[in-house]
Amino acid sequence: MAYDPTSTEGLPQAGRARLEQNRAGLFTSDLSVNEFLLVRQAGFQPLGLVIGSSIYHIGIQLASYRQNQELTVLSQAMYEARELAMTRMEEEAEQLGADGVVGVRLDIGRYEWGENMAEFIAVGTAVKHRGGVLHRAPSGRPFTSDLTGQEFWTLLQTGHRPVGMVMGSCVYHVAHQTMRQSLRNTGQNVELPNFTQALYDARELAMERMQAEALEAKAEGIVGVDIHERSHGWGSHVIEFFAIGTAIIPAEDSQDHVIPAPQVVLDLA
Amino acid sequence: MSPLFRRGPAPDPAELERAAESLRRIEAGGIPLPASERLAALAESGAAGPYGSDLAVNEFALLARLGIRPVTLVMGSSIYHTGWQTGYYFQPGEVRVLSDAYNESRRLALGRLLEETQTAGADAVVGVRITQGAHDWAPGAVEFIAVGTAVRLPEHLRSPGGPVLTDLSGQEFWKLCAAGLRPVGIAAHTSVHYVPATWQTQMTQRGGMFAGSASWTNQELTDFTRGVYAARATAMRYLQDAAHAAGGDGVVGVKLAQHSRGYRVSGMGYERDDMIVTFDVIGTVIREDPSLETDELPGALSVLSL
Repeated sequence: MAYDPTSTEGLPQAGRARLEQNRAGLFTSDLSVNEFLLVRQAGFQPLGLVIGSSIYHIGIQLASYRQNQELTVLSQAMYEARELAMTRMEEEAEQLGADGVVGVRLDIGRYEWGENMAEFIAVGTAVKHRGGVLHRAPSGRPFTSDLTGQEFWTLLQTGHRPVGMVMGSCVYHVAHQTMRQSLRNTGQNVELPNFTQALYDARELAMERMQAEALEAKAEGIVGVDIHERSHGWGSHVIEFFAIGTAIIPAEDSQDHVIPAPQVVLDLA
Repeated sequence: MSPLFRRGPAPDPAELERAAESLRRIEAGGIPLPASERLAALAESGAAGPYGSDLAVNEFALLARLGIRPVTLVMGSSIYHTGWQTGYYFQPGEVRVLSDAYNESRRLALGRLLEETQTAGADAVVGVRITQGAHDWAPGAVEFIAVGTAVRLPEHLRSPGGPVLTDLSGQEFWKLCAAGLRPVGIAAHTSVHYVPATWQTQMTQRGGMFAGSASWTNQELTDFTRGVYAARATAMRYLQDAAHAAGGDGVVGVKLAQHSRGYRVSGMGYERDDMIVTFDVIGTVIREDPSLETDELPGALSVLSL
């Protein structure tokens, strides 16, 4: 989905009123007190909670019983739905004139009333730099990050800033073993190379896609990558690998930046 | 939402050949083709593109202070089929076939992690998370997955023997280096022991409310206790041997995990509940190296968080 800074797609009337209020100066956020204080200390002001959501119908794909293969239709569905939710969240942040969104959570909801569908939700707190220093991504979009307030503060201390969350997804069908393979392994201590290869390939694809996104975002690197393995109710032998992290770039004044020496503390609490 | 099955279209022969080549490499204990190509390309480009890392921001900041640069995410995994051993339930002892399956699977996974690190031209792996997987479509199989961040070390931190694996977080890696201790590698072992219930234990567990029954009194089940001790002793001995062989002065960050489960044995006129103990131990081997020491680790400051 193309990013449209003026879009308020999917926003109900009440949502518009909420954004109006946020714009007028009242902020909402899901930051804890500590996070709030650190985000402020870093020079940022929270503007409001921003949300993007997409209910997506996931198509059907046929797999060969005995073949390790990616189920591209499903991979694409999982990817696009998340992309939709994230883009809508960014558009909401844009409405508030934010520099970016911190503390983003990306969840998947399932409902009994729709077997082949899932809701993809992105929630975070939009923030803006008080001094008016632009912190947007090179693409001009608000940055996104799943870093907590504490991590956000620390990252800025290192002379870096987040550009955006990057992700990669791969839905993979793990081939069933043939009767001959099962029989050959009976009672033996052996590696199952077919299975190892399948999971290895799937993770590799997810990680590679995430890296490609970072390259596109002109990032220096990715921190805090999480790799999840889930089955999403597709039944046995079908698995999604999902890799997500925050891409970062050096801040403009990072040349003469020195990371302060840490102080070793002993917590007596 | 289960996918339906069908006979696939004739796959591309080139793709099939690559898949077969990947399989051959895995069978030889290596990493599949796409992974090794990606990492080799990365090494060739001098790691010019963006790096991936599972480092938390704090870890990233500390490592950057030491001049340690992330290169890429690396991974190793192995799914392993456990075999059978006959006749092990007559006397207490190690179930070698199970121990071997765990140890071999972990060895393969860590070997692949190391190969990926070497291919990427990195000097060490930090922030390694080793997990055991379980899949409903592979019952009875063991899976080890190791994911971490390959890093380039500054000249003086590099180990002469090639890349170093650790299961330390970036913070721990930093603290060790700052204190003059060099991580050497990972040492780990799993030992599975079988303990048949002795007559005494059987009488105790069988219960029964009749006067004089052994279940009325508090008592230690010495055979089971001995089994746990035996499993632990085996695992720790292998760990120490491995640390010694790696030329280490000690092992830090040792994580122990112990699971026991019951196993019912029945035969002609008897039935008893035996025990299977699994003991996992993993840690990072370190060696003293005063040349690394810095004055960045002053005495700790006590704080009271409110």
